[in-house]
Amino acid sequence: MTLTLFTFHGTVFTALKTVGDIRMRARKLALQVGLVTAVLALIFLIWTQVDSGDGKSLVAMIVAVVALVAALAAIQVGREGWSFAFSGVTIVAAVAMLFLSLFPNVMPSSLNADWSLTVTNASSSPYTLKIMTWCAGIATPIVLLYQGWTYWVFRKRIGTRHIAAEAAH
Amino acid sequence: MLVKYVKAGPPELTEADLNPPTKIGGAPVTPTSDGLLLLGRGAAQSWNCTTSGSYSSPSCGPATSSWRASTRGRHPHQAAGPGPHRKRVLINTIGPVWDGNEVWLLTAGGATFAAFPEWYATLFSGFYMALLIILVCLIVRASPSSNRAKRPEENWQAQLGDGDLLDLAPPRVPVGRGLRQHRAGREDRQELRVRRQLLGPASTRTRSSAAW
Repeated sequence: MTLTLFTFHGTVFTALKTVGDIRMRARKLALQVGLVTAVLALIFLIWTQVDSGDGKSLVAMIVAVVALVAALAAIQVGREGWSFAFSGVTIVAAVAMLFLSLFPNVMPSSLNADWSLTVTNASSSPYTLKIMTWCAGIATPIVLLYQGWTYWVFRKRIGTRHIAAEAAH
Repeated sequence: MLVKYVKAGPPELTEADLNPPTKIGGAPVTPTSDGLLLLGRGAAQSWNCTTSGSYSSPSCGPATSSWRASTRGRHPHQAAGPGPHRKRVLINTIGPVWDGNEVWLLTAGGATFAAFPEWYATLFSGFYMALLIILVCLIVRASPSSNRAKRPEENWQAQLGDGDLLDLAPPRVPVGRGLRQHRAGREDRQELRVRRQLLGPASTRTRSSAAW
């Protein structure tokens, strides 16, 4: 399921970033891979929900399913930007669902439930977490900013006609 | 602005983008080999070639580049075929942001180590084989993008980059397996399973990979 979901995301990205023949082929492939993903995702997510889900994970699951259907619909009508956004939401929601259904465990023990690692017993000391929060709070926005800038610089679509013969390898 | 991009997607690259009007000290800026668009070997040349006329200018075709082809043992036709062009387009869509994205993945591991040391210890040794496969796949995947343009021989590129799909598939398979088994609390048997997977007959491998 993760294989097809990320492949779907990748084909939508390709359609979003290219022009011409490649774009059309990527769209077609995205639709095919997306349909397979939808089937696998439904099975996998419902299985997880029934097995160990709760209210919160159910919400995440619904978000994931709706976003995946929306991504498929968007690529069907050629709206690659929307499709990419929705497939991104699907990935985030599916990961959120997995961890919500685990919570508070992060690593359940199969031998004894008391030996499971939880968010509290596996964490660092409050002092470490405090330092980490400060560092991450300051550094992450800066990193996001300059990484966003690289995406902005390389934002335009390209096609085979942009590639000079000498660079085609 | 952002909404416009989400709605219609980004615009196409135009010739104006390739002719940056920026000047430093009055002199036109000379594009370097790691230029905006053309990431391949000899990109500076291609840049000049592309910007001097239309994209399909005959002076930019294989005829003018055949000196390189003859000196480096490459058939001129290889340079102009649609296959290499398509492949280069795909690499160029992700190439500029690949490394930046990869760092987030490494940061996730590092942050887990710092914030949840015991989880990190259990996770990384429990899923040792799966994580090792992911790591190897990352290297095998990223290295061709950086190195395939360094030699012109088709053989070299075939060995490095033409296994793209094979390189891309494995990282996701262990991730999926890891998440699922992790969630189901079967981590104790994970290593045995992975070992059986690696050493078992091919059909078993295919079946379990297909499932996840």
